[in-house]
Amino acid sequence: MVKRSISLGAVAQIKMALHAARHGFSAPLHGIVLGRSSPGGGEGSIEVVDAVPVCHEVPTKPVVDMALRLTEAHLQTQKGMEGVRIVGWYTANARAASEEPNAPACRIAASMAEGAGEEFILLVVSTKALVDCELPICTVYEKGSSRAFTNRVDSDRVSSTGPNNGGEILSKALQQLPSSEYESDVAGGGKKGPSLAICDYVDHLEDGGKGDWLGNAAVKEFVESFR
Amino acid sequence: MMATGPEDDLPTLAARGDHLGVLRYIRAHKLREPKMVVAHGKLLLGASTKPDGSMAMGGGRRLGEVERLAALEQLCMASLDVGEIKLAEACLDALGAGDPDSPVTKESARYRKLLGLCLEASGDFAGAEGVYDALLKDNPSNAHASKRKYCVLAAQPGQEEEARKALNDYLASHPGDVAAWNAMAEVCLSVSDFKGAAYCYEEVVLGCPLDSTVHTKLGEAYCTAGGLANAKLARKHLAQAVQLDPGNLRAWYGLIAAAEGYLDEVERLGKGKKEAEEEGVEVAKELIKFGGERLVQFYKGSEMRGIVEKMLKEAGESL
Repeated sequence: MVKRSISLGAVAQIKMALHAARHGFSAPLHGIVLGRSSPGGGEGSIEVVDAVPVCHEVPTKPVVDMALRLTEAHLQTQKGMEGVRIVGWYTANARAASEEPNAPACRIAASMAEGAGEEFILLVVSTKALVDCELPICTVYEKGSSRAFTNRVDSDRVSSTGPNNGGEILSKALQQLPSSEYESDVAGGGKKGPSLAICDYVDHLEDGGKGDWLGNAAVKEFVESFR
Repeated sequence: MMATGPEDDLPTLAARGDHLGVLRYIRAHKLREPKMVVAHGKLLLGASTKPDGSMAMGGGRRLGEVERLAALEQLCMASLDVGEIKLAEACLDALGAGDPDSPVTKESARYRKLLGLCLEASGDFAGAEGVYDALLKDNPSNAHASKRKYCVLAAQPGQEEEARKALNDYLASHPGDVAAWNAMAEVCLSVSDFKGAAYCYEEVVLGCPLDSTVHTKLGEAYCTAGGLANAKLARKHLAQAVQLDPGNLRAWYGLIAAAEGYLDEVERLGKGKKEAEEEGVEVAKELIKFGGERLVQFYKGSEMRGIVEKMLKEAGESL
């Protein structure tokens, strides 16, 4: 088996973390992982550059199918995304204590990997890493001999890229997530602080097509502001 | 305390510092805003931390007894929702304090319901189950206690089978509980039992036949289950969904996906059976075209329009 190295970009991780923090109340999360892969001298590498949140419920075929097709169409229209393609699927479990990938995520990843070849990964957002604001926030799984995504990738093959203070950026991002549309500072007489929204495909469908689920540009700008 | 007028909305009440008004508004509109309830409830009821770390309710005496009890109950539930167990316990203690004027006793079903919830939140599942068993012994048709028994099992890892059985038993004796059928559908989805989920959503549709969201979920479950018959049912329910609510974007996407799924199923049929589906194939192709036009119209003036057009063009080329 090829032992490829996997690097997780800060923007992708913070999007996954915000998605989990916003919707992770007893609901599983799912999303698409974008990146570049390179064969690199027999071992190869996968560089995760972005994440596209898809849903905060058990995914159904229409939701997954349309999200994937729209993401691929989006990649073809974006400048600066040359060589970027769908390289994985991410998930977070409904139960915080559960760290193994859930069955729907394994099924989706196995189905997607049939077309994507060996360079496909499944990321599971770790609740502990999220609470401690430590990067990388995911454990990485790759295909085993049974074609199921049950092989956990050793942590020495996984690294975080981006600003050195990734944990601090993550902590600040989580603090800016609005808790509800009615959020107000009781003592401050209704004033709201800055807020950082994250939108997934299902949110986009439910809010009448307004949310920027494909780009979540505000999150990228937030991370870039720390460079 | 200022009177709440019809023009008072939640942000106005909150900005005015009308804590009682905020709690009343949230109760009346059945909103789930636990952080707001906790913030305003603590101020209204005078929550304070004792030297030993526990909490106590010192205020709220100027409210009428009925208002004070309602606020305590609401604050207790909201505290549990956000994980402030000590605050919830303080509310429970205040409710069961045994005041001579209070109609609440520790034997009352409503008090024990909150006690059960507090025990669940603190992880004492055996204790919570004991409370619910006692409630069911007093009243075997206590639906809340039956449902919480399912929730106690669902909260514990490794008890998924028992939880599903408990919910099944509840549905056998309360077949009209649409919310429970919805919960069972989600359990089925979580174990990838899409046929089971579709069965449950059919029951939900019986209770909410004009709800576009339910028809959408049912259509998606049929589409995911696969097979020709399910593909036709998926198409039917997603078409119903868009008819009930033309602004249901999820249903429009689902309708296109269901129609494409139907065409894929027909492709797999033998020649004879394929000929029998000719009319259905034409309908499916028209639905894809119609759905696509509606989606493009929906995204007029938006960046998504170009992406959707590209996606539909690629889909059209593959048909």
